[in-house]
This record gives sequence, structure tokens and C-alpha cells, in this order.
Amino acid sequence: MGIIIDALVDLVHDKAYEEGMPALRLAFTHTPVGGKTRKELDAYIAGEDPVTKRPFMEEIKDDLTRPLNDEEQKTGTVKREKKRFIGPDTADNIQKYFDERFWTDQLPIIMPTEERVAAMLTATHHRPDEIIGEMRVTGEREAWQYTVETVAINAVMAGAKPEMFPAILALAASRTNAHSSSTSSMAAMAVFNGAIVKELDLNSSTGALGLYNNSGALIGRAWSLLSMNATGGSVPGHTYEGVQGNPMSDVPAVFAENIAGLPPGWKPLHVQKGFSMDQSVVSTFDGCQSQNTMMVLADEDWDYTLKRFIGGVGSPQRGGKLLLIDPSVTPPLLRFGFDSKEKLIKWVKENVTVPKYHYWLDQEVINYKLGPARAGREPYATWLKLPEDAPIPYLDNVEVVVVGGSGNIRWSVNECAYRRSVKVDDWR
Amino acid sequence: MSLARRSHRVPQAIGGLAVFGIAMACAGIASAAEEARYTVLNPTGNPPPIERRAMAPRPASLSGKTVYLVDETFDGGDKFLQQMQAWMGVHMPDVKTVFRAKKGAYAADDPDLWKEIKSVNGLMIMAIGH
Repeated sequence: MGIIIDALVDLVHDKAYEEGMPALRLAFTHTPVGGKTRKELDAYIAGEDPVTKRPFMEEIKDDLTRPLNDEEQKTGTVKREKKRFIGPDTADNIQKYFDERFWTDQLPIIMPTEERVAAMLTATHHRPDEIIGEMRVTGEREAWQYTVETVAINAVMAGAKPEMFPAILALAASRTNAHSSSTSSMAAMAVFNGAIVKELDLNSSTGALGLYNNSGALIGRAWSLLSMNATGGSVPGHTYEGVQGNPMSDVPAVFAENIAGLPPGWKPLHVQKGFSMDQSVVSTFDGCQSQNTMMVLADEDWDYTLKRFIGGVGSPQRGGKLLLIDPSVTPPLLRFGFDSKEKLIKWVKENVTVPKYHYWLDQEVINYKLGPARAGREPYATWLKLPEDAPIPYLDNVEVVVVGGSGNIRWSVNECAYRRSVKVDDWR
Repeated sequence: MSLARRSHRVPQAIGGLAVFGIAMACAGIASAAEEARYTVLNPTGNPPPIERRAMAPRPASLSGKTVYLVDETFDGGDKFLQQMQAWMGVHMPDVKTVFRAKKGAYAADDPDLWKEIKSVNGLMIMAIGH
């Protein structure tokens, strides 16, 4: 049997259901457990289950010894069917029906009628019933599959136009979930490179990361809705657990790299990933939790400031950083010797560190890395044995994208991790 | 417990929508009757089938049994289970308890530990689900 914090009562029943044990015996304790003293935990244990209101330890004894009933012994396969059509009804009522199930972002949608979805599907040669990928609410939850038609339905709801559909399909094929249910409240981003940028007039300049570009906004919203609905809807308590939520996840940033702003020697992101310059490619990032901006680096202390700025936000458990560099900031970076993105990335990975003592006190590190370290997984096993003041170079997923309109010498770093790049033309 | 997906605390409203529509029409509200009606496609993905699994048989009593308290290494589960072990030592002296931290990250499998528990016909309590 398991003991669960009471904040996750709905989620754990969902998970037990997915795992084929809907009546799994569980006891609940108060939230949180982490950070509590032993005396406080003793009170939890001697008290009552906050969900069932039964004495906690009596419940555990009973759960361990009560004979199984018929439901608890069932085996076999259960198929789940979904209703293909909804309605007929008014737009207001259908919007309400969708909103209540968290099939929307709680904003007005375009009604996904058969005719509109069929028009969207004309923009690709792929069959509507082709399975394009699968998504999970989090890494531990079940994988739901989605088809080309599922993507088209969500694209219509978002207000996207058929000419945007291959780009949306490429995003869907990346299998990157823009609405991860992690309690960490994570968001995602997508960067387009190649001919598609001009074709869809995607923004790489002023306001590129915000909603100042029709194509980026609509493609981002379609990706967002698909990510919510591919897993059955993004329902707080069940399939969305972000403790505070993340404004960057409402409509993920979808933008283009500013190719004209790349200094000599700096390759566009898609070329770094092995594609040719003219190929249309979308690259996805997830795990984004915050965006931190600063002005240009000073010649006198650029290395100190760079380390402080990049390492200053977030847990060292997360190895991802996305450096979003405005073209105005590249001249000093060239002056500091970074004549390629790769050199800058290497410097960041080697120089942004945290002392071993503090690394292993970080709660996220304890949650995600201590177990693997004790099991001998490298590099964590070695890091566990280092002297207390040894620097731990924890960043392993660093990328650089040039974007912005050079209105000021400002740039930003985001806690995003690169996921994958997908060719858009494969989805026309 | 029903195998239906747990309630999301919203009405299964399509039947309700139809009833609502009929009620509005019966009320003689001309504008509702004239309003455009849509049939739309379901935007959700396809869930996988579920393989039901029987739970482990229970002993009639814990007396003389070994109960493994397994920390899945997340957010203070170790301290919680250690305090439980101390409580059981006082209040359930005829039960042997063994504290173990599961190998790997919280979602990783630990077949060696499961084998060890089975080898002594033991029971397991895992914490802390978060």
C-alpha cells in the first residue's frame, strides 16, 4: 500500500485507475511532508487521515489485513472509448461544455466543425487517422495517442489558418508537451528556422517572445490546446498540478531566430542540429520556469556577471538553460572570445557551478538526483563523494538563440531544456 | 469503485445540454430557437486500454509479519517512515519493521528490493506519494 499527501488525492486515484488498480489501498497524510520536523511528523502519524478521517495507523493496519473484495481482484483489459461528435448545440453551450472539461484555455474558441477541420486537413498530405505521436501529462502518467485529425481539431479551435497547419503538425510530431502537469509549473517554447519563417511571417524581432505576431500566437495557441487535449484535457487536480501555474504556458512563445542578427561564425539553431540552412525546422524547449533579463556585460567583470546571471535562478537539479540573445548583445560576446555559439555553450557548462555542499542540500536535487547517485549513476555518484566546496558543473542542456529587435542592449536567460527539432516540410 | 474515469467535478453535460436546449425552446424564447447550432469534433486524444491487476492477498493479522517501510526518496519520505517505524516499535511490538530507501529516482523500478520483500513473505508500505 502507499501513503500519499492529501493535496494529490484526485491525481493518485487517477493514477491507480490508469495502472489497473482503481481500488488500490491508500492512506493520506497532510501536505507537505518535506520540511517538517520529526515532532510534526509524529503528530501526523498519531493523528487521523485528513481524507478519510480515520485514525492514520489504524487505517494502515486495516488496509494491510482486510481481505480483498471482488473489485480488488479483477483482471482483464478495459477499453476506453470517446465520443467523436459533440452537439448539435449552440456555440455558447458547446463553449461551456468544452470549458468545463478544460478542453480550452478558458478563452473563446472557434467551433471545430467537420467542415472547418476538413479545410485544415487540406494543408497536409497525411491521412487524418495517422497517429502522429503520444503525450503524457508527466513522465509517470499513461501515454495518450493523437492523430493528424486531433491536431487539426485543436488548430481550428485555436483560430489557426490552414497554411499554418504543417508547422503545427511539426510541433505535434515533436511530442513536446506545452502543458506539463509538473507541480513545478513549467512552460515550453518553440523556435522556427528556415524558409517557413518568411512564409508565415514569424516574428524574430521586437516582441518576438510575446503575442505580437499573428502566426506565432495562433501556432502557439494550437500547440497549447493540443497539449491540453492530447491527454484528455488539462484538469486542475487531475491532469494539471502546477502549484502556481505559469503565464508562459497559456500561449507558449513561438518565434523565429533572428538570422540577420547572427554575428559571423554563429550558426542558426537548426544548422547546429544538423539541418541545412534552407530547411524549415521547428525546435522545441520545455521545462521553462522563469525568464531573467539583464543588460550588456561589462568588459571588467563579464565572467563573474555571466556566471551569476545564468546560475542565479532556479534549482541546480535542472540542467537546462536557454540563452536568448538580442543582436545588440553579440558584439561584446565576440570580444570576450565567443566567436561561435558552441564556445559560449562550452564556457557556460564548465563555469556555471554550485558548491557540492549546497548542491546536495537542494530539495529538487535530493528528490531527483540523490537516489540515482546512491544507485551508482554517473556523474551524480562521483559528485556525492567530492569535497564540500568542490564546484559542480550541473548544466548539461544549454542552447543559444539570437532573437530580438535591438531596442536596447538587453538579453535573457530562461530555464528551458532543448527537446528536439522537426522538419516542417515532412508535414505538408 | 467504478472503473469510469474519476469525476472532474463537472456535469457530463451533453445530455444536459440537449435538455437545456429543449427547455429553452419550450420556454418560447425565439432568439434561442433561431441561434445557429453546431456539431463539433471531440478534441481529445485516445487513451490506452487499461490492464486490470489484482492486488496482493492480505494476511489475517500482522502479528509475526515483516513490514517493509520503503522510501521512494521524495520530499521527506525517509523521515516520515522512520517516525512510523518508531511508532510501530512502541505500538505494534509483534511486527518486525525494515526501513529501506528504494534504489534510483522515485519512479525507478527496484526489482532486487521487491525480491527481498517476497523472500520473507513481507508486506510493503511505500511513501511518500507526492
